Amino acid sequence: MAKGRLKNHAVETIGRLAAGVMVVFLILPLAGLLVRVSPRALVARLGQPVVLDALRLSLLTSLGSTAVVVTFGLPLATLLATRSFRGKRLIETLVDLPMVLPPTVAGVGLLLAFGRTGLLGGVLSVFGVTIPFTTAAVVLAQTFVAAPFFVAAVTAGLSEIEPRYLDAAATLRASPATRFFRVMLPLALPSVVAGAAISWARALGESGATITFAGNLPGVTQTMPLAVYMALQSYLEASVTLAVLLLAVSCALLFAFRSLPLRPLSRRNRAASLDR
Amino acid sequence: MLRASIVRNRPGFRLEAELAVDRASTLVVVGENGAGKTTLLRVLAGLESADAGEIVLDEQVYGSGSARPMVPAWQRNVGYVGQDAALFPHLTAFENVAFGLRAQGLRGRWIRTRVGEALDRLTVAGLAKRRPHELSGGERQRVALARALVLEPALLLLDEPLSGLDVQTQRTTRGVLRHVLAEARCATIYVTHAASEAVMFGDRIAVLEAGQVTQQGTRDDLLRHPRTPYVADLMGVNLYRGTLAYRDFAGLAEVQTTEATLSVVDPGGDEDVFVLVIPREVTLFLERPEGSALNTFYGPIAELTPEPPFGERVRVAVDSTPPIVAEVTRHAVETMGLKPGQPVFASFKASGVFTYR
Repeated sequence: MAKGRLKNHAVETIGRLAAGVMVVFLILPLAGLLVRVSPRALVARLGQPVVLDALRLSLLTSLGSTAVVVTFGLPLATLLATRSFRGKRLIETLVDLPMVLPPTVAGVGLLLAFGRTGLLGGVLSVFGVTIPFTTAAVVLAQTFVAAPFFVAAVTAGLSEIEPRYLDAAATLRASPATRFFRVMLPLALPSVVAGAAISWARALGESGATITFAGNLPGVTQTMPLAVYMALQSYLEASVTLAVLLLAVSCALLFAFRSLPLRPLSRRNRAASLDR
Repeated sequence: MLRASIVRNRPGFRLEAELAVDRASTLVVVGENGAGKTTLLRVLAGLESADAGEIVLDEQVYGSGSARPMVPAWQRNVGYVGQDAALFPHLTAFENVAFGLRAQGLRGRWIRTRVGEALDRLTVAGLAKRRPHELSGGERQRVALARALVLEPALLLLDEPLSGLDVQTQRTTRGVLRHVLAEARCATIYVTHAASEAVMFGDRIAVLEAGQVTQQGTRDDLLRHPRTPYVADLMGVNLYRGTLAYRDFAGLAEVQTTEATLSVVDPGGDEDVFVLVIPREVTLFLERPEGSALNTFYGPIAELTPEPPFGERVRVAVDSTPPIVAEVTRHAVETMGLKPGQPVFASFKASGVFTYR
C-alpha cells in the first residue's frame, strides 16, 4: 500500500514537472521578444520603410484573402451543413487537407496550377494574366491555407442550428432564401465571425506557401512573416519589431476569441430554456 | 375549411387519417405519445411529406402524395405552433411576430399596427422589446401564438401548446388560448394527450390510436358512446362489449362479454352491443350486496385517485374481472376504510347502464 502511494506521488511530481517544462518552453520565446524592445523603441521603428512596406502588404493581402475566403467559403459551408449529396465526404476531406499540408507543398502545388505552364496558368497567360510572384499570388496562397479554418468553423456553426427554428420560419411563409439570411446566418453569426478571425490570423501568419508561390519581393510579395525572416539576417531590430507586432496581433485575436460568445445563439438559448 | 386525407407509411408505423374542420371551429386530435399526432400536424403544415392523400384548404389543394406535387410549408396558408415555442433567439418578441410579415415583403407602419394588435390579443403587448430568453414559458408560448396568428392563416395547428408549461402557467395560458380560439376565424387543429384539454377546446374530437383515427365526434358523442377502450379510459367511463344472450319478459336482458355476464335494460335487437357504466353509478361494498337487477364484480382495489379540485370525490379502480372504476365520496372511502389491495364488491344496477351499438 505504502509503495503504491509512493509510486502515485512520484508520477504526480514527474507529471507536474513535465507540464511546467512545457509552459516555460512556450513562454520563453515570447519573453525573448518582449524583453528585446521597449514599447517606445517599437513605435519609433514602425516608421522604417522595411517595416512599413511589409505591414501595408500584409494587411492588404490578409484582408483580401479573408474576403475571398468568406465570399466563397460561406456558400460551401452552407452546402456542407445543410445538404447531403454523393461525394460529400470526399469534398469535406479535400477541404480540410490544407490544414495539415506542409505550406511549402501547398506553394509548389499552387505554382503547378497557376504557373505559366500549369493547369490553369496556360489558359490565364493567353489572356495576359500572370499570377506567380505577384501580390495576387500572395492572396491566393493565403486563401489556400486559411479557407479550411473558415469552412470548418462555419459548417459546424450552421449544423448546430436546431431544425425547429427553420421549421418555424417555413410555417411563417419564409422562402428558403429568407430562411438563410434572416434565421440561419444570424444564428450562426458567432461562428462566421470566429471563422473569419481564425482564417485572417492564419493568412497573416502565412509564409511557406507564399515564399514558394509568390516569392519574396519587398513591397510586392514580402509580407510580415517573410520580412521577419529576411530582416533577421541583415537588420535584427526591424525583425524584432515586426515579430513583436505579429505577436501583439495574435494575442489580441486570441483574447478576442476567448471573450467572444462563440457558441451559436441557438445553443445558448437552449441552455437558458432548460434552466426554467 | 379543411378537408384532409393522409396516408403515410414508414417502417413499423402507418398513419392514416381523414379529417374535416370547419372555419372558426376547433378539432382536437387526442392520442397517446407515439400515436402519430405530431406527424399528422407536420404533414398538414408541409414540413413532412405523405405517401398519398389530399389536403384541401379553402379551395386550395396542397396535395401531399405522389399524385400531386407537395406544396412546401412556406407557400401554405397554415400557422403552426409547436410544443416548444421556437421563438427566434436573436429577435425580440416584436421582431418574432413581425418575421412572417417581413418575409412577405411588408414594411413600416403597417407592420407596427398588426404586430401590436397581435401581441395585444395575446396579452403580451408589454413584452414587445424582450428577447425570448427573457420571457417565461407561458409568455413565449403566447408570443409564438401571436406570431402564427398575425399572418391570419386559414388553418392553425397547435401541437400540445400547454404541455411544456407548469400547472399555474397552464391555467392562465389556457384561458388566453380559449379566448383567442373562440374569436379566431380560422380552422384549428389542436393536438393533445390530455382528455381535459380535449374536452375544453374541442368542438369536435378525433381520437388517434397507433396512427389510425378510431373515433371522431363531439365531446358528448365520445362521453356517451365511446367505441374503444382508450376512448372510454380517456373519458373516465367503464366500457364493456358483448352479445345479447338472454332477455326476460320484465324488460331486462343479459349481455355476455368474454369475461362476465351483465344484466342490462333490454336495448332490443340482438347484435353486439357496447355497455357503458358511469363510475358514479357504481357502488362499493365490503359484503356481497343483495338485489336481483344488480351486477356485482369482486376484486382487490388497485388504485384510489382523488378527483380535482378538492378530492371530495374519489375514483376507485377495482381489479376485478373485468376491471371497473367506481367514483365514491371521500366520506365513503373513510368510513369503509378503503385502501389499495383491499377486496371489495363493485355493484351497479341494470338501470344504471347505457347500451348502444
